[in-house]
Parts: sequence; structure tokens; C-alpha cells
Amino acid sequence: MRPAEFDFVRAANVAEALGYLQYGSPIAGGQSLLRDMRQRQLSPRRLVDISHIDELDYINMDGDVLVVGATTKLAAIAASPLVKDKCDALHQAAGFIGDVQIRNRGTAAGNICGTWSPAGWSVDIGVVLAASKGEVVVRSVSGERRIDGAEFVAAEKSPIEVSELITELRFGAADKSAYVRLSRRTADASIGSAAAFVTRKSGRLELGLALGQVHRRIVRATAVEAAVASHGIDDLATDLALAELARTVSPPDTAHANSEYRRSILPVIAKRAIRAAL
Amino acid sequence: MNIIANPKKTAGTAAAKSPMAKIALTVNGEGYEAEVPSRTLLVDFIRQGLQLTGTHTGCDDGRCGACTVHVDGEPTKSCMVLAAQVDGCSIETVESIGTPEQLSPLQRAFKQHHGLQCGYCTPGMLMSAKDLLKRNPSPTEAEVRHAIAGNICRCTGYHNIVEAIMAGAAEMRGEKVAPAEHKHHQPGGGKDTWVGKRIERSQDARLLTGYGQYAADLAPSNSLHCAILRSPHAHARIKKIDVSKALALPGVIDIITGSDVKRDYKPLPPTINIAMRLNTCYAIAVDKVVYNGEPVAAIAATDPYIAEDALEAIEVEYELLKPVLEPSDALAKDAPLLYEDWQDNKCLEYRFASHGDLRGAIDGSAHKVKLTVPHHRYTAVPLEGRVTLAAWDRGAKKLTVTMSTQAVHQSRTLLAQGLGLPEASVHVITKDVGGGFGLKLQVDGEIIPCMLALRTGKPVLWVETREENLLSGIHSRDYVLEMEGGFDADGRFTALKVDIVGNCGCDGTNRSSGAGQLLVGAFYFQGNYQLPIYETNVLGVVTNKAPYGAYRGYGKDIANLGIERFMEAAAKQIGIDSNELRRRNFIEKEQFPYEILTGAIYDSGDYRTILSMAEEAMNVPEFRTRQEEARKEGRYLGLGFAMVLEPAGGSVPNCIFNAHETTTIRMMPEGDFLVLTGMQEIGQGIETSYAQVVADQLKVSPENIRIICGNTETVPYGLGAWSSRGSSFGVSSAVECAKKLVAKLQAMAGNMLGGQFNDVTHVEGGFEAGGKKITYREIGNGVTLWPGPLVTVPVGTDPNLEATHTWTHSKARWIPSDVGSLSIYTNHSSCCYACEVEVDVETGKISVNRIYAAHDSGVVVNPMIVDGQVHGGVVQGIGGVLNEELRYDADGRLMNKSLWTYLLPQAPDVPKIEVGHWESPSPFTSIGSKGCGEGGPVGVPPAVMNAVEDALKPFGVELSVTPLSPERVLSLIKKAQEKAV
Repeated sequence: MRPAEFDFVRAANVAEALGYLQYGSPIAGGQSLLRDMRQRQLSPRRLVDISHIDELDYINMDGDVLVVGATTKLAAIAASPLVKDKCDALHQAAGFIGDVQIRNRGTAAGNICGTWSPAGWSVDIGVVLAASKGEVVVRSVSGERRIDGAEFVAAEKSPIEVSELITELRFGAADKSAYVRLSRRTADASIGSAAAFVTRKSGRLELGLALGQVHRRIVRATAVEAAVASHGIDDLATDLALAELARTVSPPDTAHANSEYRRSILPVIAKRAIRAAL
Repeated sequence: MNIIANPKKTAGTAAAKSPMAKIALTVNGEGYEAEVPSRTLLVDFIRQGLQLTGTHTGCDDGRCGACTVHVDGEPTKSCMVLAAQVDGCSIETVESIGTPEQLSPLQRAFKQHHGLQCGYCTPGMLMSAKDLLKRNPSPTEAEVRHAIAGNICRCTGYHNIVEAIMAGAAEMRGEKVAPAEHKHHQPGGGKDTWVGKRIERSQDARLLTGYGQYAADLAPSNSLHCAILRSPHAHARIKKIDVSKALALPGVIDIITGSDVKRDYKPLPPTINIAMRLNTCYAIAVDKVVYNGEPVAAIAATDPYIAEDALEAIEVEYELLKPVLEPSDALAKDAPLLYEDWQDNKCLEYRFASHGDLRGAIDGSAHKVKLTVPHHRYTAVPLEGRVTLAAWDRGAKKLTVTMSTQAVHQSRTLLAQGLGLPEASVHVITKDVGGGFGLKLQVDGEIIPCMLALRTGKPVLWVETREENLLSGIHSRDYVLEMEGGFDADGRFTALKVDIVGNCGCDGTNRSSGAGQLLVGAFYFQGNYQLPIYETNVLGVVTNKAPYGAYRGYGKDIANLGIERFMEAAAKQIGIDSNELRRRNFIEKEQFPYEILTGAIYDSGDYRTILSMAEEAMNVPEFRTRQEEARKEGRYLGLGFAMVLEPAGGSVPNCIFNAHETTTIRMMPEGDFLVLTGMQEIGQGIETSYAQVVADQLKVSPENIRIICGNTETVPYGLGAWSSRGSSFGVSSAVECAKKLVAKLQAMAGNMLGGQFNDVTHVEGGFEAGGKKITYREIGNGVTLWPGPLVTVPVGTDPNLEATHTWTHSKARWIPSDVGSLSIYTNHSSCCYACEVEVDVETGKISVNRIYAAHDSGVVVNPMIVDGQVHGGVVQGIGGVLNEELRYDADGRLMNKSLWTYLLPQAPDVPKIEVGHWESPSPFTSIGSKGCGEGGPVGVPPAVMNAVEDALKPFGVELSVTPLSPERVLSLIKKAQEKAV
């Protein structure tokens, strides 16, 4: 199928985009959005093309926080030495999404919004964002606000208002991070993924852990984080915390993998990610 | 000038109302400015707007990569981008990187390494590869595979594509590339003959540069576009259809529903009837739908976007009926009937029992073995779906149908029957075909655009969406085998009994031809083995699933999976190595030709040798050491073998898979040749291999020969491409035809050289007698024009330059023996697949690390092409056993309607494929060649399953389900662990 009719405008800069957004939906890479539109599951009346806004195309550091602009392509993130150095989990996650062609157009900001689209095909960046204790920066004509990354990707409905635009993702720092992802094939939706961020502060270990595709939303595993920090990865307390998490999630049941499977691999991928980040 | 005759019904008015976008962009260096509807996809702008048809579509949702172009230098899927989004950008398509006369180094490497078969994915593949080599001039094999992960190829198994990209990269780096070493065992072949040579394919330069002519590329600009409304329900009565709103949309020209079809046309004619029950159905459902995806109405509109808008405006009221999805539901006492004029839901019942006391033999056996083998439903997914372009010439009363089919002539007959037209008024043309694999062997949806063309008088193009293809484009497999057999104390077969229940979906005879594959399976459970007593019972059941059709294997897969899994289970039970058990039961090479119990005559083979080749290649003792070491680290490696018995060249009565093939060879007065064959080029390379075969007979170069196929008004009635029949029927009819023509030309030569020679010798390019030579050109000119036949052609010889030969299979036997045995296949190729896997026991994920094929398809015409067939088949086999599965929910709705959920193999997930050849020439064909190509999907699934069971031996896992998805494997491991505790 092909999309239903819509108006199309291109925004040259953020100010222009914010003006247009009152009447339409933003499209950046738009590949997930177009899948839904081609299925006619979504039929926006107007699209606002933000993909050519150069002022949102950047990767840099703000103190020890890695910041990525909203129109920065996944390919650029995956190829960035800065990202690889400061946030290996993000480097890996960006490189896992789709394939070369999809990463050439897709953006990290678009990826975290995919979770609410009917196609809902990829949540990799959101898992990393949540584990890093990062933030989403959102702007509207009336100003800018920051939303906690883990809360953003765990929300049942998109926390962005119609007139708002994501302008930046902020990834928290860690000594080491890792992203582990299971999929049926190389270029495929994940059937379970985990990001772990590990920092050692005066002998004490701090862990950020989030999981994707094992629940209907991305989950940050705070109880597991605490158990690992207090007892270490090989302790029974950690296993119990993981088992409890696996018991309480509501995993999706799809053609790729059923919910029982996702529940059973949750502890496996969580531990693999933590080990890789230690 | 813009004249609008009927403003309500023209695209112009529709376009004027649509929101538009002005774009300016550069395509292949040329600047364009245009105003297009905002919703125009980049791929449509390129294909329809600019007529650059080298860029293809295969999935509609950004999965297959056939539409890959470069946007500002970066590979992009043009089906997932709006034209408006790339306003101001620079676009490059495949047409920018070379021409048929001047290929780029990368394109040349694809041609040299046989990196393309049907060519449909090739333009996208080239665009991805070109980008990789720009970024990384010295990629590793793994990097190449990852760079093309977003490009699906269904034909090549990626092996040769990867080789081509590596070789192209080396050449671009200025390195001298040594020609690849091919360990091809070819006794006598290839040295003095064209047969046996690795000749590059004649169509490749065209396919590599965007000059392919797939059916959708040929639509004239005034074509109407057909969209088909399909049932969202599996089983329902149609209470009411209201098309008025849809018909009122500007640009919608015609809508047809089931009642129109029933009134004006005929039911879909049967494709096969061997003791089967036929249903009466129409191309568009009348009153009732029997599967999710059945056509309910069809639209012809001036634009594909408008046609799809109209789909949403048709209102249908359904009364839901209870769906029956599994044979057990369909056979229940009070089961709803799919066809209300039937007594039950059975469409096929068949029984075969050889002489001998089966029960006594099994009961008296030292080892009694039972095994249940269920198999899931999957399908072919050629990258180009079904496409039909129909044009009705009112004046001439002639329907011209350009379609993507494997069989033009049967299509013509079936279209004529279904439309109620004289067959001579239907002309079917097939140019390039973007993959077949059995899926394009019927006339179902294909007839709908023909009806719309007859009604509107305009050309009508139907390009099925991938969703339509998965919903309705025929499914295969989906059966359960109950096997029971016995072995004596020495491990020799005493008897075998197999009951097959096949889920034929709603139809395996009219909408498609799949019911026959259950019979083929039943006939071949004997596999490569000697068997004293055999009995089989076949039950085909109709259910509310999609039509049941052919897919690479057509029942040989059923037999092979059954017997090779059975041998494995038996060996385990007896306590011997499974290959040892195979050896004790092999039919020996001295026994050929060998008639099996069901009547098939195996022509040749050497099963011991190919099994040993596979064992040597895999270095079994070394593997066992590695396996042991790995287990200590918690890694689980497995090694599995499976023999393949691959019947080829089907010769089946009462169906479209019949037993004849005709070739005409026509010499031009200038001395070159046309070969007109009823076989069909679908990417398997007959255009090249037939030229090799005929060249040897005519003693000319293949370059002097042009192969013509795919045109019912040009070539003799032939049966097309299926059942790997090209190497038997196609080759043999071409060879025999060439011999006839040579004899005729020889008589003419003798006459023209003076007429008194008894001994005219056939030499390169002509004939010699009495020390004088006459060339083909001299004969051609002499017979036709200079001076003409009256003085050049001897009395008793037809004064023309052509010959025709129809080849039939002399060993076919359609009259059943006293126990009902029949012979319906020409050749029996064989293979041994060996496979090494690793299983992640924590996640259930399987990696196939190595595949080796010891392959025997008799005399090989073009080893490069045969290797390509093996590679492609292997990867389809891997996909089928690991990932590909058509799943229905409890209401009978298909769950995987896209290539995001129907999981085709990708390049990084499959290994290199090693092929070793052995040649046991067939005594039944003209040059000893045998069919090949189906072996992969037939033999790889049991090899993989045997390997996975080997890997999981410490857990005692028995694989009782397919496909081996991570969730199933993990669940089997957990169950086995619980059992052990």
C-alpha cells in the first residue's frame, strides 16, 4: 500500500518547525512513520520535514554528558569516535538498528519515538538512554523542557505535546557501557536487549541497567541495579532480583518471539550486558 | 494541450485536488523540476515519473533493499522516502554506474562470479556494494555481508555476491585477481565441448545495468492500475458489497466484484487432478470467502495511489463463519464445510501398498522405529511478486498479457478457459522474471487484471503487494508424517509405513496446484535406500488457510525430511552411527537403473561416494575433538548429515506438470541460429546453458545462438520452468532438435557441394565433403535467396532451415501396476549435505557455521550455474528450517504479512557454501544431464535438524517441531532439562 494524502512542508530551522508543528507531525528519517502510513494505520494530515535542520545535527560533550542532536543520523552516531569512546553502548545500539540504508536516514530521536508507533519496530536507543540515566530535551514555542530518559521511554503514551519537538538526547556518563541485543537475524527487530552502564566510585560499583522488548515498554531495572551494586553480579540476590523482574514484566507476544521466551531470556541478556560493561 | 474528455474520470482532476509538492533534484547528473502529489514515494517518482525502471520494489516497507538508490551519495531505500523529502538532493540509481556495453568493475565482477540469477535484487545490491567500496576499499568478507544485510536476495544464497564484491574490490584496488580455482569433477567435459564450461551468462550485462524487462517495467503510460480488496476474514459469508463511494472517487474507472465475475466469466480452471476433489471457485469470491486474503473486489484506477484510496472506500458486510485451520478441526464430525457442495473437507485420499506383509515385517523386526514429523507452513517469496499487465485490443479481439510466470503456455490455456476466450485470442508474453521457485505456476489473481482490461478496453497493470503475496501467493509444506518402520539385526530396512496428512489450505487444485506434492512425497519416502515393503496413506484436507501450491521441492522435501529424520532416529535407537545405517541400506551404484517400490526408476547415482565426500570435507574426527573441547566451555557444536534424493523432470498426467517439451531451432540465412523453447528463463540461466548445449551439436560458438522463450506466439507449446526439468526435458529436446537440423543441413550441404558424396562431414561452422567446405552462411543464403531452394535442396528434404523436436520421457509409466506403482519423474539427482551448527543453549539461537554439499546431478552443462543453484537452494533451506514460518492466529488471520515478520535469510546470517561435484550421467537424457536446484530446500532442513540434535545431545533434545526458532529450541532444551531432573 501507499500513503493517504497529506500536506507536506519542510522546516529550514527549529523556529520554523515549531511554527508548523501546531498543524502537523514531524518527520525526520521517517522510515518507521512511512511504514505505518503505507499501511494506512497512521494518516497525518500534514507532515513537517525536519530532516534538513542542520542546527540539530551534532554530536558533542556537555561536561561529561554526551549530547546528540535530533536530526543526527544513526549512521553518524554509529561511526562517531566520540560516541565509541564515551558511550560504547550507544555506538553498538546505533549500529544494530536496521541496516546501512535505514541507518543512513534514521535518527536517534526518531528511534525513541518508534515505541509508540503501530510498527513499533525498534527501541534500541531508548534502552541505552534509560540505562544511561539520560534525558530528552524538548522544545516548543513557549520554551524548553527536559524529560527523564527512562521515564520517557517507559511512558504508556508519548509524553511529547503536539506542538513540541525533540531537539536533543543527553546520555549520562559511565566508566564503561555495553549493549547486548538478541535478534532472529542480523538486520531485524530485537527480541530482547539490555544496556548496562557501570561506574566505579571510590571502590563502589554503580550500575545503570535497562531492557527492551521484554516488556510492553522499556524497563529500567532499578532493583537489579541495587542488587548488583550491593552484592555483585554472581550473588543470589542479583539472580533473585532478575527473577522477580522477569516475573513482573508483560512481554510482547509477536511473530518474532513469544512472551514466554522473552521472559526466559531476560536474566540471560541482563547478565551478559552487565558482564560486558564490568 | 490538455484535453479532459470526462472530467469526473480522469487523473487530472484527482491530481489537481491532491496536495502537491514542488521538487527540484538531480538524478544521475540530470536536473529535474516537478510538481508531484506530496505523498509520492521516491521510488514511484524514479520508476513512473522518470521511467528509470532499474530500481525495483520487492516488499513495500523498507525491508528488501531492491529499491536502494543513493541520496547525496548514501544508500537509501527509496520506497521509504517521499520524493518531497529529497527535494534539493542528488540521486543516483543503478543506471548511473555502467552500461551494457561498458560495465563498471563491480558489475563486471558480478557477471564473472555469477553474482546474480533473476537479477531483481541486483540493482539495489550494486548500490549498497558501491557505497561499501567507497567507504572501505578493502572490506573483509564479514564487512561485505554486513554492508548488504539490508538487501535480500532469494536466488544466490549470497555466496557469489560476496565473492563478486570482494573480487570487484580487489580489481578496483588495482590488484591482479587470480581466477578462482574450481574443484569441479568433470570427466571429459569442458575441454573440447561447450558443455562443462563456466560460461558467463548472456543476460547479465542487461540485468546489471537497469535494462532488465520485468513485467511492471513494460507498462505503457496510459495503463490503469489494479488494486485488489482482500478478505480480512478467514471464513465468512459476503452479505453486501457497496462500491458506490469508491467508484465515485476521481480517477477510479472500474470496480469488479464476484457477482460480475460469476456472470461474465468462468470458474478458475483446475491445474491438476489426480484422484483429487475439485472445488468450484472464481477469481473473486462469490457469496463466501474461504481464506484471509481472498479477493472480494478489484479496482482499476488511473493511478496506483487512487486505486488504493478506493480500496478503503469499498464497504463490505460479512457474516462471520467459524474458521477451520488445522486438519483435525476440518475433519471433526461437525466441522463447518469450506465447500458446501462437498460431504466433508477432504480433497485428496490416496493409498499405496507394495506386495508383502507390512505388519508382519515390522512386528518381526529386531528394531521397530516410530517417528512423527510435523512441518510448518512457509512459502517461496520471489523478490518480484506476481505481476500482470493485460491489454485488450477491441478491434483485433485479442488479449495480450505480459506477466511474471514460469509457464506461459499453461497460463494462456488457463486464462482462455477462465475468461471464456478462444485460446488463440490470448497472447502471453514473459520477459524477465524476478524469481519463481514454484510460486508463479498458476492463474489466480493474475486473471483479475485481464478481466478489468476486457471491461475497460485499457491496459491494466497489477503489481501485487508483498502483503498480497504472503496472504494469497500460495503457501507450501504444512503437513504431519506418522512414520513406522523396522530394521533387522544388521540394521537393514525390513518395511516402512508412512501416513501423511497435508493441510492444503483452501485449495490445492484450482487457485494453485499444491495438492500433488503430497503424492510426490508419498512416492519417494524410499529415498536413497533399498526397502522391501512399503505402504503409505495420503490425506489432503482443505482448511481456511491460503491456497496450497508449489515451492521448490514439491513433495520431494516431504519425503526427504521424513526419511532422513527417520534414519537419524533409527540409528539412535539401534545404537549405531547414522551414516553407517545409511550405508547399510543404500541402493548401490551397480544397481542402477533401479526401480523403487512405487515405480520410479532411478537413473544413476553413487550414494556411497557422495556420503564419503561429505564426511571427508567435514573432517569428522577433528570435529568430534572440537565438539568435546567446546562443550567444556559451555558451547554446543553439532554436525549433521542428510542424503538427498532429488527427483527432477516431472512427467505427471492430468495436470499442467505434463511430460513433453518442444524446441524449434531455426537457422538464419546468415548462418546464425534461433533456438525457440517452451522452457522459461527465470534466472536459472537456460539462456546460456541451452546455447552451450546446442553449440556443441551445431559446432558453432554459443555467441552464434540466441535463445527465445516466454512468448506464446513465437515459441512452440512448451511447459516452462518447474521440477528442475530444464536439464532433462529442455536440454534433451534442444539436443535432439539440433541433431535433426544438422541432418537436414547436412543433406543440403551435400547437395550444394556437388551432390555425389556419401560422406559429408560435420565440421566447425559447416560441412566438408571431397575436400571442399561449405559454411552455414553459404547454406542459408543458398537455400533462401541466392539462388534459392530449387537448386540447393535435395529432393525429399523440406526446403527450410529449421527443425522441431518434441521430447518426452521414455521411462515414464502412467499405467499403474497391479499395486498402483507409477513412473512420473525423469531423473533422480542426489546429494549429501553436511552442516555444522552452534546452539546458544541460553537463548536457543542457532548459528549455521558451515555447509558442504556433495552434489551429483549427472553431466553438468555449466558448473558456474549449477553451483549457483546449489548455493541458492541451501540458503532457502536454512531459511525454511530456522526462521521462515507463516503463522495464523486463532481467527485464521495471517500474522506475517510483511518481510518484517516473514523472516528471509540475510547475508550475515548464512555461511559460505562449499560444493563438491560427482557425476553419474543419466542414461535417460540426451547428454546425461539431470535436474538440479531443488536439493537445498529438500536436503538442508534435515541436515540442520540432525546437526542441532547432535549439538544438543548432552540435553537429550529431540526436535519435534519446526521451524527451529529460538523460542522453540529454548523451550525444547528446558523441557529436556526438566525431564532429566
